[in-house]
Amino acid sequence: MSKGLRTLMFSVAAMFACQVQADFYVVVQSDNPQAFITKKEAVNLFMGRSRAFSNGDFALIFDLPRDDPKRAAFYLSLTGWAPAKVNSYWSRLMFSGQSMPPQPLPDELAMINIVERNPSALGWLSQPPTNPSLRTILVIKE
Amino acid sequence: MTEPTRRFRGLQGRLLLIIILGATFFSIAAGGLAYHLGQDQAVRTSRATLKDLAQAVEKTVAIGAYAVDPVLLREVVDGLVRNSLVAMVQVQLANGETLAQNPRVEASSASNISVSENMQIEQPLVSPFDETEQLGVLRIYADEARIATIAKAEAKTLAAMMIGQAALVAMLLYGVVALLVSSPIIQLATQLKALPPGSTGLLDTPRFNHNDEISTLINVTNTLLDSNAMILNRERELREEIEKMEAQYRQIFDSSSAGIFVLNEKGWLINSNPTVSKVLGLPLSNMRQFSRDNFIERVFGQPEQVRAMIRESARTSETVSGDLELLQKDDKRRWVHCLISVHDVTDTTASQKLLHEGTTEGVMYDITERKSAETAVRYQAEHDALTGLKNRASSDASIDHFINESVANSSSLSVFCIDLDGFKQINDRHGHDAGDQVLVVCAQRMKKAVRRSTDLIGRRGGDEFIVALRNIGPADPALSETADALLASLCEVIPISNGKTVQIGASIGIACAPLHSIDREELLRMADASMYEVKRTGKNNYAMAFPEGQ
Repeated sequence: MSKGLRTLMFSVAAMFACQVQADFYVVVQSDNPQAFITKKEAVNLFMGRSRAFSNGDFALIFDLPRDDPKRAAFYLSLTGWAPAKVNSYWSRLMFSGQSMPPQPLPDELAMINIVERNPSALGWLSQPPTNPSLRTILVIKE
Repeated sequence: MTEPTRRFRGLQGRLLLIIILGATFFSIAAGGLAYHLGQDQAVRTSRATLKDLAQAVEKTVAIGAYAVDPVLLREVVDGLVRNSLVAMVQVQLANGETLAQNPRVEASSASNISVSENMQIEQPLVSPFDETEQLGVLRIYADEARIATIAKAEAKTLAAMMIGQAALVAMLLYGVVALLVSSPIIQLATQLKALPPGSTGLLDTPRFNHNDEISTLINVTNTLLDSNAMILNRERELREEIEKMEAQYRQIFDSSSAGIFVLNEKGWLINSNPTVSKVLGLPLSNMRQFSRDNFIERVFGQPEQVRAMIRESARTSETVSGDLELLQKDDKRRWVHCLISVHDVTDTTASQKLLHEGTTEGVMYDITERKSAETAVRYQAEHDALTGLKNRASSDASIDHFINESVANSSSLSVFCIDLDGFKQINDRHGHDAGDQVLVVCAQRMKKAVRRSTDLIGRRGGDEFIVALRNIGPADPALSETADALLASLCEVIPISNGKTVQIGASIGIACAPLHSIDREELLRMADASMYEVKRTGKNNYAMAFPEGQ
């Protein structure tokens, strides 16, 4: 990935952020049979309750890093929780060792690359995917 | 107070009993209530604790349930079970699946796990992200035995506190009342009981009762005791004085030379002194019979006279006195001078009324001797010393009396003037002694001839006598019979001293009232005239005077 593109994307992201209109897009590989999910299903998947798509296929869920401001906005939109509360939630579950939070990826580009390659992957983006190998299954209005 | 049977009779004992009973009753009631309340409170507290526990872990459990994390849930459940109030904790999902439970037994099989609604907390678990989504429930079962133990302990503590408080208050109350009220009263009662009547014992005011009602009571009691003692002393002195006076009066009464007697309205003897019995000549023991008998009737010769004196005294309210003859017991006549006073009932006050109502007081002196002397003097004055017949003056008085009587009764009176014939010669021949003897014999014979003691035989002087016959008129046969008897007896032989005898005769002149006169002198003059006429015409006979005017 070129530095120029990354700069561009950052600027686009900044533009979107400034635009107030900041929807989030839950995406899967276009080969994934899951055509769409409800917001509740999205919560179940991202908050560790569920690990499978509605057809029963295992879902591999990805997230952005903890300190990413977009992540905070995403979870606020998804669950209505502040990031601290989300972190506390995961701390309790991680204490038992049974549940693990979604694996964090360095940035949205890495997210696009993983989802593009892995049919079980589930991730989210702050802008609609332009890549045809990705499919948006839920748009979360901010 | 020391005897068990008397323990609750006294004031203090009764107070103690009432306080003990009251405190016991209160303790039982309050203790029971407190026990009940304590148990309730303990159960409520336990429930609240369990609820707090449930709420404390609710979020975590909800997350565990949401994420279906049995390990996390087990961790929480194990933590909860460590609380001594908790018997069992269970996390159940909405589909009935139990995610975590400790201990791992059926709720119904464990004895100490309460299955009652009251003793289990059910905390519903909702999704952290969607409040409308029910994930399941967190159930905490209370350890019933444990809670019961705690409740019992708490209730016991509360009840014990109540009972202790009641006992403390009762003790305090008893102590204060005993100190301030009952013990002073008991002390006062004991002191009062021990005091002899009339003592001026000053009762002490107890230390804690100055200026309160007890001290007032004691002060008033002291005042009462003092005044009582004063009154008693005064009464004692008065009584002594009265006794002394009574003794003096009794002495006077008993030793008086006058007989003193008191009669009631029926004439019964109420009281008398020994002198009365001495005067009456009756033994003292006989006096008692008069207390139920009429003293007046039994003692006096003329009871009517006594009754008249009593009436007089009652009328005039003054003492009436008089000489009274006593009822004659033997040949000796006895007299008393009697002072009689009747108490006027209307004049006396109520208290004296009881004592004196209708009573008659009498004083009597024996005047028999004086009376005898008097009689002797009067006899001497009225009678002829030689013959014992009435003398001239006395005879005149009797005839006056008889005339008045005959006028009043329309009866007749006959008067005989008798002159002895031949008396002068006997006097001359045989001496004056013989003459006196003749006169004495003649007097006796005339008495015999006249017979009636109510008739008069008197000596007018020398050898002249007078006879007055009551209720006998001129035509009365008794007149001539008496005259004949007189003549016959006087003509009989009269023995004189030296064995000699003499004989005399008599001339009798008769006059009658009211036929001849109702004037004594005239009557006697006419009888005299008839007598001289007999003497002149032959003596030794009798003749009736001619009626007046012939």
